[in-house]
Amino acid sequence: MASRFGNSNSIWRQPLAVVGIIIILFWVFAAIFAPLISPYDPLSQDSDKFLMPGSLHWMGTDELNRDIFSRVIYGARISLPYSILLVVLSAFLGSIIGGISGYFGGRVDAIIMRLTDMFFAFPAIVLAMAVAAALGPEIRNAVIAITIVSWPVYARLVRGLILNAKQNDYVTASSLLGSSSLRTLVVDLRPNLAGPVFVLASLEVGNALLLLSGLSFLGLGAQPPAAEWGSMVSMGAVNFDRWWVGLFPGLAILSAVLAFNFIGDALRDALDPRTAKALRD
Amino acid sequence: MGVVFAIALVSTVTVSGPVNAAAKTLTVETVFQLTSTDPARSFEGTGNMINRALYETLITYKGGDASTPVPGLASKWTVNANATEFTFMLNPKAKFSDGSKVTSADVVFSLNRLKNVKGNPSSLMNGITVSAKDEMTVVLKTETPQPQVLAIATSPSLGIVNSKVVKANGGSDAADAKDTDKALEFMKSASAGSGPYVLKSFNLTTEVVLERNKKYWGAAAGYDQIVVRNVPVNVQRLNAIKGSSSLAVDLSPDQADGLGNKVNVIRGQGRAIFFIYLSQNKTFSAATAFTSNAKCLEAVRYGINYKKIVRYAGEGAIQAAGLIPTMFSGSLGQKDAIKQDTSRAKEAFDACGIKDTPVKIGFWGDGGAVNGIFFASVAAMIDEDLRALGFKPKLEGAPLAVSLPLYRENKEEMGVWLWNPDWPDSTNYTESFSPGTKVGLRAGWVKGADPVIEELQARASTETNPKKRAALFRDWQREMNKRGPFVTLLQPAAILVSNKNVKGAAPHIIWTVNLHELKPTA
Amino acid sequence: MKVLRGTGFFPFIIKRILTSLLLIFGMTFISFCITQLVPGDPVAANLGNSAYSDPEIVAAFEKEFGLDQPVPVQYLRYIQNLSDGNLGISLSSKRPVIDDLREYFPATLEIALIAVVIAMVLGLILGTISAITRDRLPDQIIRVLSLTGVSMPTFWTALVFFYVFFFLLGWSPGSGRLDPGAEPPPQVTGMFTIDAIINGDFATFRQAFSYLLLPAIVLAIYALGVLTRFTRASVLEILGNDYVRTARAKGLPELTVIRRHVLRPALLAIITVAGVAFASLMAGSVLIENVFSWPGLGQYAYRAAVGLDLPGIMGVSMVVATVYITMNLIVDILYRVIDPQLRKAEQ
Repeated sequence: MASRFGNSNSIWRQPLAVVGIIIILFWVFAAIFAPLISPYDPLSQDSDKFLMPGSLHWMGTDELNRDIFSRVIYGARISLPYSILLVVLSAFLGSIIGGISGYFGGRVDAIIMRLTDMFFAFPAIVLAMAVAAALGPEIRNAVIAITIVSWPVYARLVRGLILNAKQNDYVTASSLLGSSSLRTLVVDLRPNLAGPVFVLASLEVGNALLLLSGLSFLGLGAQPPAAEWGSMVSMGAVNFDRWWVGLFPGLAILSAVLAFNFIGDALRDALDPRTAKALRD
Repeated sequence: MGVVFAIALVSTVTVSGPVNAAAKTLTVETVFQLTSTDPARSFEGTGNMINRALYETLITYKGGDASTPVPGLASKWTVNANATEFTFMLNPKAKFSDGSKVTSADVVFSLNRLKNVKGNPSSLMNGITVSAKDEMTVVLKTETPQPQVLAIATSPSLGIVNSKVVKANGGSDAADAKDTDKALEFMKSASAGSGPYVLKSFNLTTEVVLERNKKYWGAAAGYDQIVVRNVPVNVQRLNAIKGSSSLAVDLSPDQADGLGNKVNVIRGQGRAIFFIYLSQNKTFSAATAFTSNAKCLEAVRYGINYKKIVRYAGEGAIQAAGLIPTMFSGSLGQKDAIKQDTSRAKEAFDACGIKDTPVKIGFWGDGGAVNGIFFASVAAMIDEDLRALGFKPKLEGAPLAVSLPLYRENKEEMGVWLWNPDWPDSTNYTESFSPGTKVGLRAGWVKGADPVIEELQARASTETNPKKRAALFRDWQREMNKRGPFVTLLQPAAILVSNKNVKGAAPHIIWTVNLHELKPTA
Repeated sequence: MKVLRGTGFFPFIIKRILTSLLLIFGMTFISFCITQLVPGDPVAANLGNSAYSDPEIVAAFEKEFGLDQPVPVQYLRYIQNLSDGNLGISLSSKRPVIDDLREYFPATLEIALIAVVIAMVLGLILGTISAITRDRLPDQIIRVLSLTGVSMPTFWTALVFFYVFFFLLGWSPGSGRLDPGAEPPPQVTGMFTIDAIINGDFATFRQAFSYLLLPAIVLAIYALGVLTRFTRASVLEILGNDYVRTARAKGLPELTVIRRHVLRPALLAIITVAGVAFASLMAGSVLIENVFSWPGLGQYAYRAAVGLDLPGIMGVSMVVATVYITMNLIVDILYRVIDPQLRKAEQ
C-alpha cells in the first residue's frame, strides 16, 4: 500500500491527523476499558434526578439519575464499532457492485450505473427511517438501513478505478497469459483498489457515525436502556434547560467525527494526485 | 459569520405577547393528537379539547368536575328505574352559530350520524338508539340497563351539529353514512355548532384557530380568538418560562418545576393507567409458556419497584392501586395497592421455572410519551427490576405503527401500555379488561378463564344502585389484582400551566382544559 | 427517434430528460418494494382503540386506502394514479398526498434556498481565501472550521442554537413559521417570505424571515463546510494549471488571473457541487425540522416513515429525487452552455 501513497511520510507531518489519531485512540481505549474507568454503572438508576455537573457526577445525571459521564464513556462501545461495521459493509457491498459494473462493462455496466444513480437520488434518511421503523428500531436494523443507502459512493469509485486500470498494460498482459477474468479482477486489481477504497471508507466513517446517531436521535436506532450518544442527545432535547444532558453526548459525537475526518483528510492528501482526484469526484 | 447573522436576527425580531390589546387572544400549546374537528369522527385528545368549545352536548360538566352532570343543551332530563330510557328536554333558548334554533331533529341527526359514519368514536353509540318525542324532547333507549349513558352523553363526540348546514354540505346520518357522508372537508373549514366559539381555520399540523361566536345563546365567550398550536413539550416549557403562551397542557411534573412567576401551575390527576401485562397465550412462544403461569405473574407483580416508578413520574403521580382511576366510581385506595416484596417475588420466580429463557417486552418506543412519561423509561425501570429477580428481559420498543398491532393482536410476550377511558364510567374498565374482552384478549385471556371475575363483570354492568356499583367495581379490581394478567403501575399527574393573565383554567379528564370557560384576568 | 442518436446539444437534453424520467420511475419501484418487505400495520396505527376492534370500521378504513388489495395491484394502482397526477391519500393526514406536499414542500424550500445562498456565497469566499493563502494561518483556520462544520451532528447543533439564540438570548422568535394566529399571506408559492413580498406586506415578510433565519443557518452549516473544502480543492487544482502559469508569465495582473482563469472554471465545478448540496439539504432537513418544529417536508417524512404511510413516503421520495435529478440536469446543461471550451476539452 505504501507505493500507492505519493509521499507516505506526509501523513505524519500533518498535525491535524495526529490529533485525530489521538482522539480515536482515546475513544477506543474508553470503549475497551469502560468498566474500569467509569465511576458508575451506566444502567444503574436512582431516585434523585437531573443533578447538575458537579464533583460527584462530572457530567451530571439524566432523568433516571444515571451518571452521564459513565454513559458517555460506554457510548463509545456502541458508536465506534457500529459505525465501522457500517462502513465495512457498505464498502464491501459497493465494491462488489462497482467491480462487476466496471469489469464487465457494456449493458451490465449501464444497468448498474442507472441503479446507482437512483440510489444517489434517493433521500437517504427518508429510506433509512422507513426501513428502520418497519424492521423494528434496533441498532442492528439501523445499520442495515443505512448500508442500503450508503453503498453507491463506493460502487462509483471502484468502477472508475477499474475503468482506469483497464487501460493499463499489465491487465491486458495478464489476460493474454490466460488468467481467468475473476482471477484478474481479484488478484491483479485488488492492490490498486484497496488503497483508495480504504481512504474513502475512512472519509465515510464520520458520516456513518452521524447518520447512525441521527437515527437514534429520532428513536429509530439504539434502544433504551443502552447508552448511545444520539439517543442521549434526544433526551437532552426533551429537557432543554437541563443543558448538560444533551451537551456532552453531542460533544462526544463531534469529537469522534472530527477525528475521523482529520485522519481521512490526511490519508487522502497523502495519496498520489490521480487517485485523490478520483476520490473527490 | 456569527456577527453577520446576529445582526440579521436582531433586526428582524418581532415581539408578541399572549394578549394583544386590540383583540384578546388565547394561545394554547399542545402536542397535537388530532385528525379533524368533525365530532362524529374525532376521538383524540386535541380534537375533544377543541370540539368542546365549538359544539355542545345534551349534558355536560362544569370546570374540572367529571362526576355530576349539569345542563348543556338539555335543561332537564329524566332516567327510568331500569336505566334503559333517558329523556332529555332541550332548552328553548339554545341556538346554533347561524342563529337557528336547536331542535330534537338536530340531536337525532347528530347521534345517528355518529353511529353510522363508523369513524373512531362510533362505538360510543353501541346499543343506544335515539328518537325524537317532540320538537324539544329527545329519548335515548338501551336494551339492557346502561346507567353510563349519562356519562357517554357528555363526550364531545356526541356534540350536536346543525343538521341543516351539515346536510347541505354533504352530511348524512343514514345507515350507509360511512360511504355517503361527505361532510368531513366542510367540517375542517367551518364549524356547525352551538358553542361559544366557531372554527376560523384548521391546519392539521400547525394550528387551529377559533373565533368568538357572535350569536352565542349563553354567556359571552371570554376571548375574541383562541389559537391552538402544535408545539413540542420542551418548547412548551420554554414558552411558559418566558411567559409567551397562555396555556401549556402537556408538561410533566418535572417540566412544571421552576417555571418562574409568570404562570400558575394547576395540578390534577391524569386519567391514564399505565400497566404491564403478561401474555396468557401458552402456545405463542417459549417465553409465554412461562408468562402464562401464575407464579411468573406473582414474581412480576411483587418484584416491581413501584415507588421508583412513581417517583420518576413526578409530583402528583400515584401508584395505580387498581385498573380504575381515582376519578371514577369504585376506584381502590392506596391501601389496596400492591407493595413490592422481593423475597416473595424471588420465590415465585424460582417456582415459575422460566430461568434463562429471554422474554420480550413490547411498548411504544420512538419517543412515545403520555403526560410527560416515556414508555421507554418505564420499560427501562421494569427491565432493571426484573433483571434483579433473575429474568432475562429484552426491551422491544418500536414506533406505534409497528408495536401497536403486535399488542392488539396478542402477539407480545409482555407489554407496557396504558388505557385511557373511552367514556367516563367504570364499566369501561370491567367491560374491557375482563377475560374474553377487548384488552383481556390482547393478553390472551379468553372467556371462561376466571369465572369469579367474569361474574363480577356481569353484575357490575347491570347494577343501577350507585353504592352497590361502587362495591362491585372494588371487588372486581381486588380479584384482578390477585389473578389478572395486568399489573397496574401508575396513574400520572395531569398538569396545566396557565399564564397569570388567564382566569378559570381547570384540567378536565375528557377535554383536557375548559377552553369555553376561560376569561382574561384584566 | 433519430433525434436521440445525434450528439449535438438538443439530443443531449432529450436523452437526459428521458433518463431522468426513467430514474424517477425506478425510484417509485424501489421505495415501494422496500416498504412492502417490512412488517407493521398502518391500519392499527391510525385507528383508535375501540375503532380497531370493530371490523366494520377497519374494513371501511382499508377500503378507503386500498389496503385490502394484493400488493402488486396496489403498486399498479399507484402508478396509474401517478400518471394522472394523483399521488394517493396519506394514511396519517387522511388527505391527498399532493396536498400535503404542496403545503410542506415550500416550507422546506424556503429554508433550503436561504441555506444554499449562505453556503455558496460564504463557501466561495472562504474557500478561495483558503486556497490562495495555502498552508498559511488563514488557510489553517478555515480548514479546521470547515472540517468542524461537516463534523457537527446536525440535530445537536440545532439544539444548541435553539437554546442559545431563542431561550437564552431571545433573538430568535421561537418555533413555527409565523406568530401564533397570524394569517399567512395569500398563497402563490407557499413560501411565506416570497408571498408576502408579492402581496406588498412587508410586516409579514419580516416576521416570516425572522422565524426562518435560525433553521436556515443551522441547515447551511454542513453545506458551507462542504463547499468551502471543495472550493479550496478546485481553486488549488486550477492554480496549478498550465494556462494559469502562462497567464502569470505573460505578466497579467493577479486579479485578472484569478477572475478569468481561476474563478470561472472553479465556479463551474462549484455549481456541480452546489446542485448536489441543495438536494442534500432537502433531505437533511429532517433532523432540523424536528428540533425547530418547522412544518416542512422533513417533518412530514418522519411522520410518514414511523406511520408506515407508504403513499406519504413515496411522495416525499419522489419530490426530493425529482429536485436532485432536476438539479443535476440543470447543472449539466449550465456546464456545457457556459464553457464550450471545457466541453471540447472533455471530448
